[in-house]
Amino acid sequence: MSDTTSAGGSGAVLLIAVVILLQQLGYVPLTDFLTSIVLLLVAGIAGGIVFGLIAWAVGRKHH
Amino acid sequence: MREERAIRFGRRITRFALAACVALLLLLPASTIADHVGLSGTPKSVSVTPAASAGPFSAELLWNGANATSANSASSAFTFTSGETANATFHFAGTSLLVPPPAITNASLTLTFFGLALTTNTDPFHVIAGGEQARINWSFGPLIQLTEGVYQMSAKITNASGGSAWSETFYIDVKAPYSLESGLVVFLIILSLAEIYWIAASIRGARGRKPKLAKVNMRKAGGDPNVAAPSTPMTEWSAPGETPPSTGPATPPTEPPAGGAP
Repeated sequence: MSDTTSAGGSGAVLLIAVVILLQQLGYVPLTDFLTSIVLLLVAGIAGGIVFGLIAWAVGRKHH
Repeated sequence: MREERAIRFGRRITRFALAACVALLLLLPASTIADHVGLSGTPKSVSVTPAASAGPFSAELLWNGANATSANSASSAFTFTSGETANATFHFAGTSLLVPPPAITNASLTLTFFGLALTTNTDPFHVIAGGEQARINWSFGPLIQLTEGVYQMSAKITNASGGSAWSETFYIDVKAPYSLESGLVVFLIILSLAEIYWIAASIRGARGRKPKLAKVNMRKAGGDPNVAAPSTPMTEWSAPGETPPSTGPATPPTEPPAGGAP
């Protein structure tokens, strides 16, 4: 359970950081508040779910 | 045990660093610009509503001589480099000889990030041949290091009552010379990957230790690794140099002769 939540958190941070990097590289303008928040939330939730599921599956397989 | 402790410590450190970096990255550009030039609040909705009695007009904004309409998306943004001072020139002119254009007073440029109007520069219009003109110089100074990225700019021409007579949005791409902020983000991504690596190592460590050791012990004993091993009897430990205790039949201790010496 701990591994799953940790991996989910790391995945969320990873994708949020990718969005911020894209803003700095000039691909994504974080201009509008609602759009920016939605974009960051979607990235965070998607990263959390994907990496959490991966960790859960790996942990289930090996424990 | 020591390896597990190191993994736990590494994960704690990376988790703390991740949280700190995310907070820093989101707050840094906003707070930096706001502190430098003053926070002007959320942008107001812009509408082009010339007065009913006003005649038609044409307005344009030139950013370093290029029309701002050419940078209407993030991919076609104007590049803004370190040490540069951009020159924004507003042109305004009536297009009808019969009806005069609306009276205007100021031109303003607003930098928007995350829904906040971080800074606004304003300049009054003055009459030139064939219309009116306003010039605004725009620079970031040394703070450009902390404001790397693409930002939206809103250009607006206001009338005497403060209403909007004309507006346009365009994008600028701020390039910092040493890419400190991008480096911070890349560091954050590396930290996230390191955290994921620690988690994978911890799962692998939990998997590898117990079953593997048991199987190796079984193979050494010459048995089937899939069958539980019989418990080995405890043997007495002997100090080096001493002979191990014999496993043969125990000999009774020799008793001293009953008669003894005369």
